[in-house]
Amino acid sequence: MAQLSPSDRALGDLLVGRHILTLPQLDEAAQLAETWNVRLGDAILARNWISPRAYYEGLAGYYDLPFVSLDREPPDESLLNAADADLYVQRLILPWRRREGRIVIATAEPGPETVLFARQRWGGAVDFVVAPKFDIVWTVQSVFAATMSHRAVYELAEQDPEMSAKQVLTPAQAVAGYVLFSALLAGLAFAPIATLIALNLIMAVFYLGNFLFKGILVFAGGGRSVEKDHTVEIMARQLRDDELPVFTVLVPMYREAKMLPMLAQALRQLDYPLGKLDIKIVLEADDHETIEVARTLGLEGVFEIIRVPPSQPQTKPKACNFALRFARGEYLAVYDAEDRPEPDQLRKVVATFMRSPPEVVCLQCCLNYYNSSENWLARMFTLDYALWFDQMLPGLERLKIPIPLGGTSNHFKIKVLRELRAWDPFNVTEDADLGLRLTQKGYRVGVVDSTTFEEATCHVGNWVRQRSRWIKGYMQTLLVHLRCPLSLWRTTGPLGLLGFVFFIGGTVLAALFNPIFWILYLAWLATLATDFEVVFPEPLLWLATLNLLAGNGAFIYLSMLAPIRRGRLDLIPYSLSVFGYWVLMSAAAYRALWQLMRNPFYWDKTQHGVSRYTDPKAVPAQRAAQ
Amino acid sequence: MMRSLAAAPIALFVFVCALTLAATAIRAGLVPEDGVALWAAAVMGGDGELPISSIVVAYPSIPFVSATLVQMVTPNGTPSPALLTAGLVAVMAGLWFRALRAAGRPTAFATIATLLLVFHPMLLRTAIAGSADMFLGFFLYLFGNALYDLRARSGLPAIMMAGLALLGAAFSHPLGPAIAAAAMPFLAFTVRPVLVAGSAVNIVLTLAFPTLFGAAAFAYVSWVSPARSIRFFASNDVVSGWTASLGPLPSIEFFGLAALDAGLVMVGVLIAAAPLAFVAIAWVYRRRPLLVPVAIFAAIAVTAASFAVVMRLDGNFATLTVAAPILAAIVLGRIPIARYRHPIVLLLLLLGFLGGAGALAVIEPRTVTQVADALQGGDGDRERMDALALGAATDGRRGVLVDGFNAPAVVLGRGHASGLLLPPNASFSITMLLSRIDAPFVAVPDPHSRTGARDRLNEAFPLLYRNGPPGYRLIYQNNTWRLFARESAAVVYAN
Repeated sequence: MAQLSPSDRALGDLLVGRHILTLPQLDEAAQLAETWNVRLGDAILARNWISPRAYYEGLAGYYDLPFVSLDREPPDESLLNAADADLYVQRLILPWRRREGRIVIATAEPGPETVLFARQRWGGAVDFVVAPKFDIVWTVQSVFAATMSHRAVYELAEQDPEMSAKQVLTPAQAVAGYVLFSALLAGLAFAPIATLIALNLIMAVFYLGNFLFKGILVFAGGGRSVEKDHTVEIMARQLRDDELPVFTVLVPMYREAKMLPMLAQALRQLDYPLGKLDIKIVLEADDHETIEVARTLGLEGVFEIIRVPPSQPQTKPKACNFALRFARGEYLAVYDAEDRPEPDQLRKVVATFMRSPPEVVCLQCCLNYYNSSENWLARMFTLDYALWFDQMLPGLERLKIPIPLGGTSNHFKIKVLRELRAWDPFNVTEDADLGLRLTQKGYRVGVVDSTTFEEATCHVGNWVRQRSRWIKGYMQTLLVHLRCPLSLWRTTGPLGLLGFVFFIGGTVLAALFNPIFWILYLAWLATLATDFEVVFPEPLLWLATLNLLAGNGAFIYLSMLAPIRRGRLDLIPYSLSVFGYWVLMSAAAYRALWQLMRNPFYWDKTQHGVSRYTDPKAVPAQRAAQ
Repeated sequence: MMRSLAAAPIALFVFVCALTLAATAIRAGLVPEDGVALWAAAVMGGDGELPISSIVVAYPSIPFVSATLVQMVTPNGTPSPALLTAGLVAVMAGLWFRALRAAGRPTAFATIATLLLVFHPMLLRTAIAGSADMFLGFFLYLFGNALYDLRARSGLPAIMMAGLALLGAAFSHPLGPAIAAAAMPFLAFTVRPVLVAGSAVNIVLTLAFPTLFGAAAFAYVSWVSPARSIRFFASNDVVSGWTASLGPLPSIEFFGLAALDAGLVMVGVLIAAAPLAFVAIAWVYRRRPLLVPVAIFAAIAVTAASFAVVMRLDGNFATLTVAAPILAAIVLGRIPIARYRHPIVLLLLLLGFLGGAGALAVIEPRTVTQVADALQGGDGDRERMDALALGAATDGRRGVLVDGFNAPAVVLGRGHASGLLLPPNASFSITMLLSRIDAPFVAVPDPHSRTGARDRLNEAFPLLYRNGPPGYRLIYQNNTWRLFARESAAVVYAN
C-alpha cells in the first residue's frame, strides 16, 4: 500500500479547512488513495461527495493559483497546436493565453512535475492557472474537432489502405470477380449441366467442411483447460488494488439516454478501484438528449463525456477512434450501453494479460444475455451466443486460428491498439476485423472466462437489422483480409487461413446458400420429380444428402450442447427449433448483401432498452436468478 | 506425445498379432458367415460393383462403409475387415497402455496388464468375429471411458464422446441398438448430480440425440434410396442363437424367461470374465464418482443382453460378452487404486482371462469347438472352402454369373469383384427377369448343399447344376460348385 504524498496530505487538510470536504470524507479518500495507489484528487473525484469544480477550486487555492473555467474563458486558439492534442489530453495541460509576454498554462494537475514539463515545452516564461480536467478535455475536443474527426475516420485508410474497408473491392478483386462471373455465364451458356454440377459440388464440399470444422471447434473449445480458468480467477482475486493499472472503458452510445443510469450502475459495480477507471461515455454531438441526461445524472469524476463531431460514416468504430485519443489507461475495454459485465471482469483481464505471452494484446470475454427467457428469439439468440462465445471462440484460441472479436467486452493493450490505428470506421463489424488485423500483424487474441450480460434483441425486425449489419461486416472483413490470401497464409498459417474462411466465410455463405438448397429440397419433396437428377449425379446426390442430414443434425446438436456449460439446460429443447433461426439468418444475409452493394458503410442501429428485463428494477432480480 | 510414442511398440505388436489371428481365422473358416458376407460386399463396393445407393443403406453402416473405403485404397485381396479389426485392437491396446503409463505405473506392469486385456478370450472372439463386433467393442470402450469424464465434469467433450459413442455402437452391429436402448434409462445418472437436478430429461435428450437423429436419418435415407437395403447378420437372430447354444443347458434357464435369463447370464459373464471390476467396486464403494460409472456400465451391459433377446435383434448373443474385457480395461484405467495393487490386479486379470474362456465355452460352444477343431488341423467349413476355391478358379475370367450374395466366399476367393455378374448387377437381374442365361461363365452350387438350397440361380434354373446351360461346357468343379463356360456367343439358355 502506497503512502499518501505530503502535498496530497496538505491538500486534504486545506479542503477540509475550507469545508469543501468533511473530515470522515478525507479519511476515507486518503485510505482509498493509499489502497488504490492513486492521488488524493483521483480518490475524491471517484466519490460523488463534491462537484469537480469545487475540487479544482480547492486545488487552485492550495497551489495559490487562479482558477479558470475554460467554458467561460476559452483559451487563445492560436497557442494551441493540433499536433500536440494528444499531449494536452494525456497530461491535462494546455497553453491558455499569453499575458505580458508570458504564456499562461492551464493545468488540471499542478505540481512540480507539471512545472518542469511546461518549462521544457514552452520555455521559462510561463505562468499557471488551474482548470478542471473536463474543461481541458472538452477544449481539445471542440478546438480540434475537425482534425481529430478526420483522423478518426481516415487514419487507417490513409496509413494502411490494404487493411481498410473504405474501398469495398480493390481493382484486383473486381477483375477477379468479373472473370469468375464471366466464366460462370460462359459455362452456363456452353455446358450448363456440367457447370451446375461443378457449382453444386463446390457448395457441397463447402458445406461438409463447414460443419466438420465447427464440430471440431466445439470439441476443442469444450476441452479448454478448466485449471487455466481457475488459475486466472485466483490470480485476479489476489491482485492488490495498488498494483492494478489504469483501465480505460469506452462506452459508445447513440440515442440510448434511458440506458445511461443502468450502465453507470453496472460500471460502478465493477470490482476495480474506481480511481483507476478512466470511463469515457462516447456520444454523438447531435445526440442532445443523451448528452443532457449524462450531464444531469451527477456522475462521478471518473466518468467523462466525449462528444464526437458529426461526420460520415456515423459508426461506432469512428466514435471509438475519436475517444481513443482521450484515453489515459494502460488497458482499454469497450462496452455497449446495455452491458452488465461480471464484477471481476477487469481483474481477470489484468490477470490474464499478466500470465499471457507478450504477443497476446487483446482479450475477448464471453457474452450472454440477461433476457434470455423473454421469448423464443431471445432463447435462440442465447443459444447462438453460447455456441459462439463459450465453445467456438475458445476452440479458435486453442487451435491458434484468428479470433474475430465480438462487438463488446474486448480488452486491449492500448499501446498496440494505437499502433494498429485502432478500429476501421468503414467496417460495420470493426471488432471482427480488428481481431483479424491483430493476428495479421503478428499479435494474438485470447479469451477470458468472464461474461458480460447484454440485452438480446427480442423483436424480429430489430434482430434482422442487427444481424444483417453483422453479416455485412463479415462480408467486408472477408473482402479486406482476402485481398492478399498469401499474406494471410504467411501470417496465420494454413489452419488460420482455413479457419478464417470457414468461420467467417462459412457463416456468411451458409446463410446465403441455405435458402437455395431448402427450396430445391422442398420442390423435390413436393413433386418427387426426377429432373434434379441431371445436376445431382449419384455421388453428389449422396454427398448432398450427407450434408442435409449430418449437417443439420450436427448444428442442432451443437446448439444443444452450447447452453450446458452455463447450466442453462432449460434451453436445450429449443435447439430443436433452430431451423427457424436459420431462416431469419438467411433473410438477414440477403439484406446484408443488398446493403453491401447499395450502402456499405451504413450502420443499422440496434434498438436497445426494448426488453422488459431492461427495467432497472428487474435487472438485479434477473441477474440474481442467473 | 512421448507417452503416445511409448505406446506405439505395444500397439504395433498387438496389431501384428491381431492381423495374424484374423488371417488364420479366415483360412480356418472360423469367421462367421455374416462377417464373410460383409467383407465380400465391401470388396464389391470397393470395386465399384455396388451402387452408392446400396452402400449408404447397408446396415450396420460403420463396419461396412469402413471396410469398403479400406478396400478402395488397398490392393485386391486385402482382408479389409481383418485390417480394421487389427487396427481397432491396436488402438485400444495403445490407449490402455498409455493410460497406465500416464498414471505412473511401471512399464512391465502396464505391458502385462495390457496384454492380459488384449488377449482376453472374449476380445479374441471379437477379433475373430470380424470388424462389426470389434467396432462395437471399440465404441463401448469410448462410451465407458466417457462415463467417468461425464461424472467428473460433464464437460462438452465428454458429453459429445458419450453421445457419439452410442451412435457409433448403434451403427456398428445389429446388437448395438440394444446397447443404445439399454443406456437410455441410465443416461440421467451419468452426469454430475447438479446437472440432473437442472433437468434430467434435457440431459438425456442431449446424450441420446445423436443416436435418435442417426436412426431417423438412416430411416430417411433408406426411404429415398432406390436400392434395397442390405442387412448383414440377418442370417441368425439372438433368440435362435440363444436357443441353439444355451437352450440345451437347463441349468442356465433359471426362470424360463429368456430376457431375464439373458440378463443373469450377462451378470455371470461379467463376474467371471471381469472380476477386477467387482473387486474394484468393493475398494471404492464410498467414492461415488468412481463407483457410479462402473455400476452404470455393468447395468447397461446386463440390460442390453435382456433387450437383445426381447427385441429379437440379429446377431450372436456372444457378441455382447466383449463388455467384460472392456469393463476391466475401463476400471484399470480410471480407478486409481486398481492400478496400485499390482499383484492383485494381475491376478484378477488372469482370473478374468480364465473365467472368460470358461464363460465362452458355455455361451458359445460351437465357436469353441470350431477353434479347437482348427487348432487340431481340421478343415473348418467345407462349403466355404469350396466357395473360396471356386472364387480362385474364376480369377482371370470376366462375366461370371454367380449369386455372390448367397456365397460371399466366392468373391473373397477371387480377391476382387470386377468381372463377376452379381445380384445388384443389371446382367444378373435381367437373367433372373427373363429367365435366360447368356453370360460367358456361370457358377452354380450343388442344390443339395446348404449354399445351393438358397442359391437364386438354382431357384430359377433347377437343372442348372446337373446339366449346365446348353452350349456351355463344364470347366471346373469341386464338392459344392460347378463352373460352366459358354462355347458360343450366340447360344442362349432359356428355362
